[in-house]
Amino acid sequence: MFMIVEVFRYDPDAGKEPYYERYTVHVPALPITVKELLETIAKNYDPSISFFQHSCCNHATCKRCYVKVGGKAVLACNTLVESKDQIRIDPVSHDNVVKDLVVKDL
Amino acid sequence: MGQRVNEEIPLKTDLLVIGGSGAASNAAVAAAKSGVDVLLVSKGKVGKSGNAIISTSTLSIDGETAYQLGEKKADRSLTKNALFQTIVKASFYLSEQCLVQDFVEDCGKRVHEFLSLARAMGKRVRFLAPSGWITANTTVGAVIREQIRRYPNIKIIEDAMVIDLIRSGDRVNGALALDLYNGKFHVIHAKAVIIASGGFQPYSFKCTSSDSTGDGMAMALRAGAELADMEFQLFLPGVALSPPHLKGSIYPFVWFAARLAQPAINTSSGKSVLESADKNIVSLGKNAKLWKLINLYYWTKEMECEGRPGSEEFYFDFSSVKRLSYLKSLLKMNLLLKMLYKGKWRFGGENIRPFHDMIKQGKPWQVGISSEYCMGGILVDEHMKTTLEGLYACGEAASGLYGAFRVESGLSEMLVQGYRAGAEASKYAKESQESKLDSAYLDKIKEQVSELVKDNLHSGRSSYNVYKLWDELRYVADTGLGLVRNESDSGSALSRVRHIGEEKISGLRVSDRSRHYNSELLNLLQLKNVCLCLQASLMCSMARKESRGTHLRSDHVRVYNADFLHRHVISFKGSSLSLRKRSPDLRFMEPSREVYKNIEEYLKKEFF
Ligand SMILES: Cc1cc2nc3c(=O)[nH]c(=O)nc-3n(C[C@H](O)[C@H](O)[C@H](O)COP(=O)(O)OP(=O)(O)OC[C@H]3O[C@@H](n4cnc5c(N)ncnc54)[C@H](O)[C@@H]3O)c2cc1C
Ligand code: FES
Repeated sequence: MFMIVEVFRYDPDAGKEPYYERYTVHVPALPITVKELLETIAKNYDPSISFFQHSCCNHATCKRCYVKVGGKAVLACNTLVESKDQIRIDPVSHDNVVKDLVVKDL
Repeated sequence: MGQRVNEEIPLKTDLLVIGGSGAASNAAVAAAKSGVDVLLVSKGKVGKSGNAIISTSTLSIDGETAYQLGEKKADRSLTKNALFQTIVKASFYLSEQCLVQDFVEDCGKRVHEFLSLARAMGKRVRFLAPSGWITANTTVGAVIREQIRRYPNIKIIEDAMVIDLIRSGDRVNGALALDLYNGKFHVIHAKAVIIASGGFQPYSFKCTSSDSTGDGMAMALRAGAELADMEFQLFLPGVALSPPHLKGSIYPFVWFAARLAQPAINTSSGKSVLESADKNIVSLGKNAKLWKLINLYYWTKEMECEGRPGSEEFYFDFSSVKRLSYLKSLLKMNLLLKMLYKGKWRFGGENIRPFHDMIKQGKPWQVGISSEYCMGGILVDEHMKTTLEGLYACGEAASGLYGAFRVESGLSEMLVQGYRAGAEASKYAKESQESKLDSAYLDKIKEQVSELVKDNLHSGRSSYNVYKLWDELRYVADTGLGLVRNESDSGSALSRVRHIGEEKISGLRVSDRSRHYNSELLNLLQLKNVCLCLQASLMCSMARKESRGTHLRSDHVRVYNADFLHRHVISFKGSSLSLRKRSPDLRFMEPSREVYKNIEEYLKKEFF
């Protein structure tokens, strides 16, 4: 099945304003975690997206993988995407974005 | 966009510690106590990264010392000598006995210090018979942070990945790190370096932190140090495959190992995995910490397809457990978890209620086997010194204590070895003269990173990218270095991993040019390390034509002491990896040179 995912993009090196990139993503089955969804996008559509990846506990313990899904802050590693409705993924805060979905000091 | 330039920050210290978990914090503390300046560089945040913070957080020592520390319920018959013997026998005699001796001597002191600090911070710790304690994994992280905070001569840099060591002549005297958030290089000049960066996990089904990419092992190897025991991964039977958001949770294992109301363990075709098992051996698992090995052995015997971690489903079926007994167990577990994690149904960060809802609904827990720890790692001597001058290693990144099977605590190992490495490396740092950084060597490793972000055919949205290659590599690990191995699968895996390394990874460039949190670059750097460690592991696995510890071979089921009582050691010879044998230190306990029919027979003879 396909779902539409909008991802907040911002790269301070690119000299561009932030924008949302729209991906039509093929997901073999639902539910999957938000992190798995982002990994699917990176693997099959766009390896240049950045999201918290360098020291993931994967067990809702380090609390560093927060993103906003539909405006709500969730842990990407532990939160499921259950329906194929279009979703929008934002950084947890827009004030201190390092790149795309990664914010400083989480 | 034009050529990307990484800004450089030069740093100088007496001792560089690589890692931000317990091995690193203890190394830093021991060194700081001796008065040297320490710089600790960690990929994740200190005390919020690595496997320690997702562990069950049981720490064990010998029973005698636990009793002396005031635990009146400790089993005093588990003397230091008994602990020594258990570790050596469970290592299948591959332990370096000098390391075991040091561990047995130090573990009481180090664990006591660590837990005393936890208690002083108001954290909860509970005695766990026969000779250990359990605390919250969040407590382990908090204590690690507190340990560091107490010493002003420990400076830290977090969220920076050490990429490579700097070797100047025969000595390691620095490292290059990449600040993941801003892309700056830290060029660190040190008198001594300690690698405390944890383990290596190449598989697709995981219960470990994403930090475990063997960075420390790979950088040690590239600099000229050696790795050993890379064929041995500690597989954990009973890791959740569902519900989807709890995949990889070790809660089912913890329930089972805690001897609470015991479910039947069935294969997907409904067969009980322990039905044909030797009852004496199974009972050994009840009393001793051999539980993981014994279950691994019997579970894998029932597997239909040979041994890919997580590919085979098993079921914890509670349908025949008496309701009262289940409820009593649940109460016991909930009380323990509430004491440790304060909230109801909390196990670490996870809400474990869905597991118990499944029991209510009459559904079994679907579990698989995943690797929790690697026994293999950097070759060190009893001073935690590697074969390279100025370079030390400890914790999961090092090897030699547990040989073919880790029967005792990984956290205790992390504390003991971390501290020892810190003490030894600081002694060296004090005694040695500062040596000049080899700028040509430094330029070479910087250039290697810069190369990765240059334009190339394979960059960007082409047929493969770093994420796809991760999948390929995981598949190779699952099939060639799985739970049960054989010559032909491991052989083709080795050819494939070489091909992936030489033909695909080496030519790969990232499409993202950003200096700021470049996920693609991070993954490519890690992938290179996993690829190298996987090659080393497969070479060791191929060379071990027998079964030993967690290295189970379907084509060589015997434990062949006559020919295989040696460790496999890997190093670079020119541009390719080469393997040599090394006899472990057997100064206190000599193994028999017998050939055992299989793992079962070895356990029977050694443990009864
Ligand atoms: C699910 C699970 C349960 C466990 N349960 C227990 C238990 O109950 N009892 C027990 O005794 N043991 C347990 N263990 C094992 C134990 O957690 C490990 O043995 C222990 O954490 C190893 O400590 P370490 O400091 O060597 O490495 P880790 O704790 O893994 O830490 C590695 C550190 O190095 C950093 N790092 C990695 N690469 C780099 C780099 N390139 N540059 C800079 N820094 C880097 C990481 O960010 C991290 O800070 C468990 C393990 C797992 C996975
Ligand atoms: S990765 Fe640690 S909480 Fe999600």
